[in-house]
Amino acid sequence: MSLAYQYYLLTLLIFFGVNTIACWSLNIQYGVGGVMNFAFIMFQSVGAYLAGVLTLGPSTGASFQQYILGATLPFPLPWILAALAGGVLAWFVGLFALRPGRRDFQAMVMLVVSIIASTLVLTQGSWFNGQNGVAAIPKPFESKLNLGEVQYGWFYAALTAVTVLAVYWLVHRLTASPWGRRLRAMRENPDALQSLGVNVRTESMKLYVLGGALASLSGAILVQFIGAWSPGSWATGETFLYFVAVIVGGVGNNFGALLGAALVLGVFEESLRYLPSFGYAGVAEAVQFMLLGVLILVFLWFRPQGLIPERRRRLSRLRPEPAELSQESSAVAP
Amino acid sequence: MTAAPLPGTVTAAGSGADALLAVTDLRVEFSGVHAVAGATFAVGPGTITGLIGPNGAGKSTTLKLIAGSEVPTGGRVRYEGQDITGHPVHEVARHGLIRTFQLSSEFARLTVLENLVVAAPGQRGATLTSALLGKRYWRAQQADLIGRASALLAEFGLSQAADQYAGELSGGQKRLLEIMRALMAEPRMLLLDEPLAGVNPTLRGAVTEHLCRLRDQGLTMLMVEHELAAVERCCDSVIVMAAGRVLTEGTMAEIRANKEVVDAYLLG
Repeated sequence: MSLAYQYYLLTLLIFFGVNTIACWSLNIQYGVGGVMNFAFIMFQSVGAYLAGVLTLGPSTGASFQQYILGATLPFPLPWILAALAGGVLAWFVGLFALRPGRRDFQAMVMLVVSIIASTLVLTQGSWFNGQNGVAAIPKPFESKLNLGEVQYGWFYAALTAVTVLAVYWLVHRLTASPWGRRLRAMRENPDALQSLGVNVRTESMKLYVLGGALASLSGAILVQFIGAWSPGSWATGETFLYFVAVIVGGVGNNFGALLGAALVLGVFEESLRYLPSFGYAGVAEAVQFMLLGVLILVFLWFRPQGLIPERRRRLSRLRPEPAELSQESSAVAP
Repeated sequence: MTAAPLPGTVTAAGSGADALLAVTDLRVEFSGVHAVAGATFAVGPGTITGLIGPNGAGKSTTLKLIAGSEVPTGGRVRYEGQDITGHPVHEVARHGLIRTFQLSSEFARLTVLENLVVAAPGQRGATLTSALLGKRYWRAQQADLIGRASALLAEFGLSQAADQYAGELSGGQKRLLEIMRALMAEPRMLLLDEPLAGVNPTLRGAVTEHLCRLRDQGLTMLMVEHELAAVERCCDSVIVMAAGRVLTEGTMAEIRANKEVVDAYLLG
């Protein structure tokens, strides 16, 4: 296999890993808990920017780029801090945006917050170098390992794979737990869940913070591989790409989200590369984006549950034998 | 139309002092309309109290005010001697005061059994941090809850539907699920908003019997219901509301004997 082909392959794999984590973040929020995070791409960007500046070293006036919070932190601190920052930002946004009984309001506020954030970063050049963004971000262990570009790429792919497995462990444990069941109940009917003694606002907040942290982590992994991040990387429309992926793959199913990441963000996005170019510059990309719109409509209309639907959890299989039943099976508290 | 209590009426619990729930001069106003305009009544422990009256009388709104899903503009709600006026819904529910809904409010894409299990309070693994502790931490308790929920399903004749999505149930079955779900929440008092609406006559009798049995076990209920036969059969006392106020209170027989009420509200 030629080096160029290997590099192409490992790049695809790393993007697949990043997108999978991103889709799991969106899936546990939207697919499981019903929290429409239309500010999703903002959280991924916070992670990317933060992981970038925390490895770039202090910003000096002489450099071609200006940024705040510059530091040279060793791996994995930039990833951890990026995830924490995503969580903190989610908490802050959640304070005013989360209204579990008003999903329309919630979605709109988040969309607006995302647009405000990107405008701020664009206009406040001293934060993250404005329009040009931050670049030349060092890769973890690159100088120590002293590997060739492709070899290092495989190393980074492995690092991404380990993180993906860790995140899977986390999201699977959570979605399969009684908390996961509670989140699905919240998705179905927040008012009814509240009337059973669950504070749905608090639960939404926890979920939002968790999803924000995972989204930021995905941004951190991505930025340390591609080495640059600018407002162009996180146009508001990108959020919808992730939504298409989760809806096509299977809402509420972690494997569905993974499949969506592979098919929509991998195959569909990448397909353009193999098609002959047509029309004037940029028309192919525009058509591709339009096709994404058609894709989401087709799925919402004909297969809203996605390719791998949420699994029906047959709890009756776990029913204890009558002998095992505790004597106090009365429904009424004494 | 007179809105003041008729002379010679009795309070549901005799007096407010020994009541489990006492509502005093409860009021709420929506853009100038007084949906509840000074309702006062009490519910004694271990009783079923019916709340009847014409459409728009403020019955459901009264339940919502007690449960905390609407905030009253005036008046007080005391439960177990504690002032719970305006407390948020989940806090009221944690006191064991559980409300059911007038419209079906099942968790549609959860199975019937899941709908019940999710309602149990104090579940292991039902918070973000405890969920991380893993299956071993919560599995045994979940099995117990599944056992309890299955027993309830058997009692209500819905065992066959255990693994069906709740959204696939018929309207009547959804009402039953709603009652069972409230029971799984370990209530000390139930606020039932038309529990029999849409339930077929055979099941209606069974549900009524079941409610009576729960009352005999010590559960207190306040029930909005239009099905007067059921109200007569299982309610210890009945409160008649009209235009946001309590018109009269008493046993169903007393209410039926009250010509004014019968003329105005029961027979149309």
